[in-house]
This record gives sequence, structure tokens and C-alpha cells, in this order.
Amino acid sequence: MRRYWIFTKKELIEQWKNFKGIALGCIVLIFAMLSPVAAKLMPEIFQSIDVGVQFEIPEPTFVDAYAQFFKNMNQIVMILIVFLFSGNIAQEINQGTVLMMFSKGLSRSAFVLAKFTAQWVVWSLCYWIAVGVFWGYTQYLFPDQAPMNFWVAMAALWLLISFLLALINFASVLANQSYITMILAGGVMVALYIAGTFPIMVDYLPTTLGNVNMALITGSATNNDVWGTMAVTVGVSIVFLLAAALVFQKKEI
Amino acid sequence: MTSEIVSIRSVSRSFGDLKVIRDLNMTVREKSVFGFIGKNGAGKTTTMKMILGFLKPDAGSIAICGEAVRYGNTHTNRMVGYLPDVPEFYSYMTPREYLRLCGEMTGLSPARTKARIKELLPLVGLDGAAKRKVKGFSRGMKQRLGIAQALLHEPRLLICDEPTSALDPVGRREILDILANVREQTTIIFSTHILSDVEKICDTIGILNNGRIVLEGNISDLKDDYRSDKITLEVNGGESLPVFVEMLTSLASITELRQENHTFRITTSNLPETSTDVIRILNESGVQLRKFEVQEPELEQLFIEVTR
Repeated sequence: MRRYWIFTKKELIEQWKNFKGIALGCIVLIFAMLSPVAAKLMPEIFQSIDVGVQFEIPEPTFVDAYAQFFKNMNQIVMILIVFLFSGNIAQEINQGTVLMMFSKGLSRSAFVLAKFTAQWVVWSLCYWIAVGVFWGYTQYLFPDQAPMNFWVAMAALWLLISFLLALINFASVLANQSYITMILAGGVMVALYIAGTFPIMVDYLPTTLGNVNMALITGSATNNDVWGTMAVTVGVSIVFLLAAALVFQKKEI
Repeated sequence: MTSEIVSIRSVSRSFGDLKVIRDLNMTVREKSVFGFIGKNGAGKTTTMKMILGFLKPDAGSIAICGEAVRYGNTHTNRMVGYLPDVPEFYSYMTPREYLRLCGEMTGLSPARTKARIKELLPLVGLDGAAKRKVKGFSRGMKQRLGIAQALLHEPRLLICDEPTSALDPVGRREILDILANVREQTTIIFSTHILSDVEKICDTIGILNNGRIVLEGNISDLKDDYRSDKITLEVNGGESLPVFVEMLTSLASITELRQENHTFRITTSNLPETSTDVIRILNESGVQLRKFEVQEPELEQLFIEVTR
């Protein structure tokens, strides 16, 4: 356990020094600030383009700002996370940097779990700061904002990407190459999205946590609708992490 | 009798259909510098990785200081310092930061770590580069930092996997000097295929061939065992040379005699007797001696002989 914390600390420093954490933080913050601005300016941008046809654009509301936020986070940030973190484990093993740590008594499971923990801490920190910034900026531009179920809608997306991190780490110990990890993790996500087209599955899929946010904000869905999905997501994430630790324990290096 | 640091009993290991290690038995005794010799691909790294618990033996058992090595569980590694063949470090760290991380990992107190770093950086010649990032280090510097991290917690066993193979002559010399310096403090397993390195610092060797130890023991004992009973003799010429040659040819213990000008290559069935006789007839014939050499078997000869 002691070594797990030491390695987690090393990982956090590494996220800072190799700019991965900073890159993630910056991108997430930029989207947090751009989303309400884009929502506010969209009608003006449309009106400035003279297409010869007069069309009516409704006045933007805070709902548009939230829609922008969730769309950006769901697509671009997810892809960014896959790219940033897929090579993390493979790189240490292929380069051999971790061999000396193992020879110093670091256990395999502590290694895998520390990798996840550091990524998750960085993600959580970036995300919740971004949520704060987003809320503040939206408040400034749309002082009458009245989102329903704000915390659950935000937590849902946070959990989905936490799940993605657990998935990436599990895929990493199965694959020896970062691109295979990307294909595996990306493949699973696509499969989950496809499965989401079957109504009977929706409640049990982590990916639902990235689709349900606007319904929560507008009030067409309630918190009670997503508790089950959240529980499944947390459960599956834990299973992935335990499996990653167990598989890696048996893996020859 | 000194105690056993590493004992490998009947270990086998295959990769697919390829049997790399077959029924390997090997013992490394305390405070020895054990040269683990084998051709490329003989299974040296595989054996070392099994000692470290990174690879699982198909059969057999390995113990470090009497404690069984368990695969995937690195508990026995607290007694081991490991230097991989091409050590790689977190490139954004300085040697000091890296050694501090290693100290924390092995459970040394911060004060002890600091003291050890102060001792080790000069020992490996990196005190001038203590604040530089590892990123710009040469291979030799990385190898030296590798030795420092391996020695940090004062392990009872230091495992070096071909530490000199990838280095230039100066780098090799430096590593050998460092290892020679620490031989008093720890037992060293030194894998290599460079036999001159072995002759420089090892006192015992094990030669690995086809997955088995084919020759093991103290280098000087082995050389005695394999002594070829060959004498090379060089004399000054002169009038008495024909007399000397005649007397030499008449010696019964000489089985083969070859003459090239003033140099004689003698093979004998009885080395002490021939030696005494040669000295006697040198005296009697009045021929002046330039060189008398009982040929030592070269490690290379031994190696070629046992791995043939």
C-alpha cells in the first residue's frame, strides 16, 4: 500500500512534467469557457452570414450552453483521453523503466492501480474545475440559468469518463502496444454506443451517462432514472480495475 | 564454507516449442563475483528474470538466501539489486530525484537515502551530473546510474545483465572498475559473453550452454583442471644449441616437441618432471634462457571447448 502511494505520487508528477495533465486541463477548461460563449454568439454568427434567405433564429438560452458543453466533453475530451492515456502502461513495460521499480518491491497490482489513480485524479481535478468555470461563465452570460438536476447531470459525465479510464487500463494490460489499447478501448466504447440503440439495454450501459445529461438538465429525466446506470458503471469500472490487476499479476515481463 | 546466496534447482523454461533452460542447477556463493557466461541467446537473461520473479519457471525452484522466489511476487527482491542490460529511467528526473524515488520504494528512511546518494553518486562518477536530467545521458552514464540504483539499498546480491556489452571501451572500463570496487560489499552475478571482462573481475564462473550449466567453479581451479601441460621455451642461439636440442629430444617425458628457430613448444606427459629436466639441461648445455612459460588455458579456450 505504501508503494502504491509512492508510485501514484510519481505518476502525478509525471502527468505534470510530460504535460499530459496540463494538456487535458487546458482543453477541458477551453471547452468549459467556449461552450456558453458559442451558445450566446451562435445567432449573431448566423445572422452575419448573408445567405439571401431570412430565417428566424430563436433567442439562445442557458440550455444551448449546456448542450454545447456536453457535446464537446462527450466527443473531443473522450478521444483526447484515449490518446493521452492509452500508451501509459505499455510504454513503461516496453521501455523497461518499471522493471527497476518491480525489482525494488513495487507490486504489479500497485503499479496498475497507481496508473489508474493518477489519471483519475488528474481527470477529476480538471473536470470539476471546468464545471465550476462553466457554471460561472454561463451564469454571467445567461443570468437566468435554471438547470434541473445539475449535479447528477455533471456527475454522470464524470463517471462515464472515469469508466473509460478503467477500461483503458484494463485494455493496456491485455495489449502490449498503445495502438492496440486504443483499438480495444475505442472498440468497446463503440460497441456500447451501438448496444445503446436497443432500448432494453439503455439502463445498463455506462455510455448512457453521456446521453442522458441534457434530459436531466431540462428536467425530462429525473435523478432516479440514472442511479441504476451509475451503479452499474461504478461496478463495471471496479471489475475492470480488479481484472487489470489480476491479469497483470500473471503477465510475464 | 560460505553460504549460498542463490540456488537454482532443476529449473526448466520454454518459450513455445523452444526449450531455453533445461534442468538448470546453479549455485552462487556469498561474496563471490559470479561470471554468468553464455553465447547470445543461451538463456542468461531468462535465468536472471526468473531469479527476479519476472518470469515463471516451468519446473524447479529458485531461492535467494534460502527464501523461495515466487513468480509475480517480488518479496525476495528486497535483497537484490538489479541492473538490466539497457537500463531506462524516467527521463524528466535527475539522478538524485530518481535515486530518491528508489529509496522510497525500497523503504529506506529519507536520511539514509540522502546519505547513500551522497556515497553512490561519486562512486559511479555522476556527482557532476546530479542535477542534470537523465534525458541527455549517454549509455554509459545510464549504466552507471543503473548501478547506483541497484546498490542503493545495500543489497546482498547484485544482478547485472550484460552491463558492459553495449558500451565503448572507456565505458566498459568504468563499469568494471565500479564493480571491482563494490565486490567487497555484495555478491555479484555478472552475465556476459565478453570473456576478457570476466577474467578481469570474476572469481567464479558458470558457463551456460543449451540451457544447462556445462562448467561451473572457481576460475583458477578450472584453469588448473584444464591445464594443457604445454610449455613454451625460448632460448638464445649459439654454439651449444645443437647439444641442447639433442638432450631435449632424449627426454622421455616429452610427448611432442616442435622447434621454430629458438622457440620450442613442448607437450609433456609429466609437467613437473619435464620442467625440472629442462632447467637441468639448460644448465648443463650452457644455453641461455630467454623465456619459460607453462601455458595457462585461456578462458576462451575453455569456453569453446565446453560449448562445442
